[in-house]
Amino acid sequence: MSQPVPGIRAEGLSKEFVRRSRWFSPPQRTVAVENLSFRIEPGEFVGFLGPNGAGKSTTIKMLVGILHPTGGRVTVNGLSPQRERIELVRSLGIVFGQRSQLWWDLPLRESFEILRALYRIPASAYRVRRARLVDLLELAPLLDQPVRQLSLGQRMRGELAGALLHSPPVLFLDEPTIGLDIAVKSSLRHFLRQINREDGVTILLTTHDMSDVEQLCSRMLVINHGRKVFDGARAELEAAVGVPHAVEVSFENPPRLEGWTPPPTVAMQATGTDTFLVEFNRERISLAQVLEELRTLGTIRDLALKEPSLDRVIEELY
Amino acid sequence: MAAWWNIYRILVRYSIRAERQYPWNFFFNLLFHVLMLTAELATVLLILARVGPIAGWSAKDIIFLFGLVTAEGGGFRIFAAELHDFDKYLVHGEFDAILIRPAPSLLSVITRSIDIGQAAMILQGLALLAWASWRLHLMAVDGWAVWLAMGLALVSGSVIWFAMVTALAALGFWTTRTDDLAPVILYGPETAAQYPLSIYPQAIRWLFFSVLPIGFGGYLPAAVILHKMAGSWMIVGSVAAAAASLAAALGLWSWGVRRYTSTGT
Repeated sequence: MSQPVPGIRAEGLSKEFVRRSRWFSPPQRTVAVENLSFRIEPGEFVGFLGPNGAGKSTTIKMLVGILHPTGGRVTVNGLSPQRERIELVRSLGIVFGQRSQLWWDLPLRESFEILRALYRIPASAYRVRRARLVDLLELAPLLDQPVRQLSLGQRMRGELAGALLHSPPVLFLDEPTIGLDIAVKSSLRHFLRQINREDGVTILLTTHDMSDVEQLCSRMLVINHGRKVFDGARAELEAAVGVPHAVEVSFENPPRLEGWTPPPTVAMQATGTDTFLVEFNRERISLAQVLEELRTLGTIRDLALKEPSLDRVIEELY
Repeated sequence: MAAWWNIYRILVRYSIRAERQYPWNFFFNLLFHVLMLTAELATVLLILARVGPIAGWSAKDIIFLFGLVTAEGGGFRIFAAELHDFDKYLVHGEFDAILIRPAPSLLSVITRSIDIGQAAMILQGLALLAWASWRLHLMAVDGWAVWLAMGLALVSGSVIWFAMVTALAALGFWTTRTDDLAPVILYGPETAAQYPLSIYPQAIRWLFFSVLPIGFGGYLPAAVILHKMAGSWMIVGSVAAAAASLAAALGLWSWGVRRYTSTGT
């Protein structure tokens, strides 16, 4: 090996779980992740998506050294999560939304002190970093409360600060916004965008909340049944899936539909007495052509272009 | 190594601080240990009063052995509080949180909490040991060497018990639940160790000097110190057994960690 490879590299990653219901019963094998390959470059903000049980958590757990893969190779910042776990996690920030990594009975302040010792953060760097995180996440009034007394939103802000105290270049987030209200979500998103852009932190985000992905991620990695089904930017995803674009049209008067056949790839469905949702494939027919066609049906009073929702796109993909 | 010791100290300090939030818990724990020990000792003495010396061991000899095993029990339990119910880490997937810390996983687990109440067991064990040594005039025969031997025995014994509880916890990586195994591997042998092992059948004695090496922690050093066995160099056997069992337990642990399967979210 020459230079350490920055970022995340997974090649043919697989994980098979073997379970026995009883000691001597034949083993039951379930494949959680199968032949998964991807690369994430430093500074990227990647959304890691898939339905429940698709293998997202299993993959993340292999990337951070919790699970040992049954096949394939993985390196993070050039290190093997399994063989060099301790060295690697020193440079990782990890937040699991459903599990706390802070010290339950201690005030946030003391959790931070423990993390400082654990990650051997130099005193001066620690002071600067802590001040910045306390400021960005508005933690000052919470520092002296035991973690168990914090609300979910407060705790999640604490978890993020704790995961970033040692200035890791890579951050793994597993459903960090689960159960949070809109206001907290939006402030967390703002924070994540900031540390991604200003500090250049590479972020891999798992979430079921498509608005998280829509607002934050430059790239999406979608898996299902442990296999990769898509890897790329959002626009490419829409093109790949071929989700129709849609326009909502209102006519002055009920249109004359008898004897009219819509052009290919155009579908029209009534949403009111004289309003219709018209779906079409932009690759095949332009919006202008669609409107031209619609004008033959009557005078158009109003129209609104509908962006396909990411939820819809992802649904198509599964 | 020095750095890990430093981290250990800090983690322990904070876990004691966390524990202090529940002072009554600590107090009741202490009371419970004192009562338990008194009851156990009473049982032993009652049996002795009935049957007289057991396998050539007088009441004072047995109190010596009992004190040694009790102090060792406290010695390993202080550090092994989390290993005792390690199941919970595996059943609920809490071990994830251990593995994402930049420290050896066993170190992270045992520093999660410290059972300070066990200091009471150590003190009670040492008191019994001191009393028996005084009444048996051990110092008169062997001088200060007795204390050195006792020190080695206490440390080796604690390490052997610690290795056993670590191995038991590590078995959880295969079986998930270990509470069914605990009586066989830990509690049973612990009670057995309070009596001279020479009273047990050959097969069980062999077991206690091999797979469950508790004989090296209590019986062997006690027999050497009390001159029931020739050759004071035999005490080295305890130290060697402690080193070997710790190495084996750590090996089993890291083998198990590789098998850890976590839980779904």
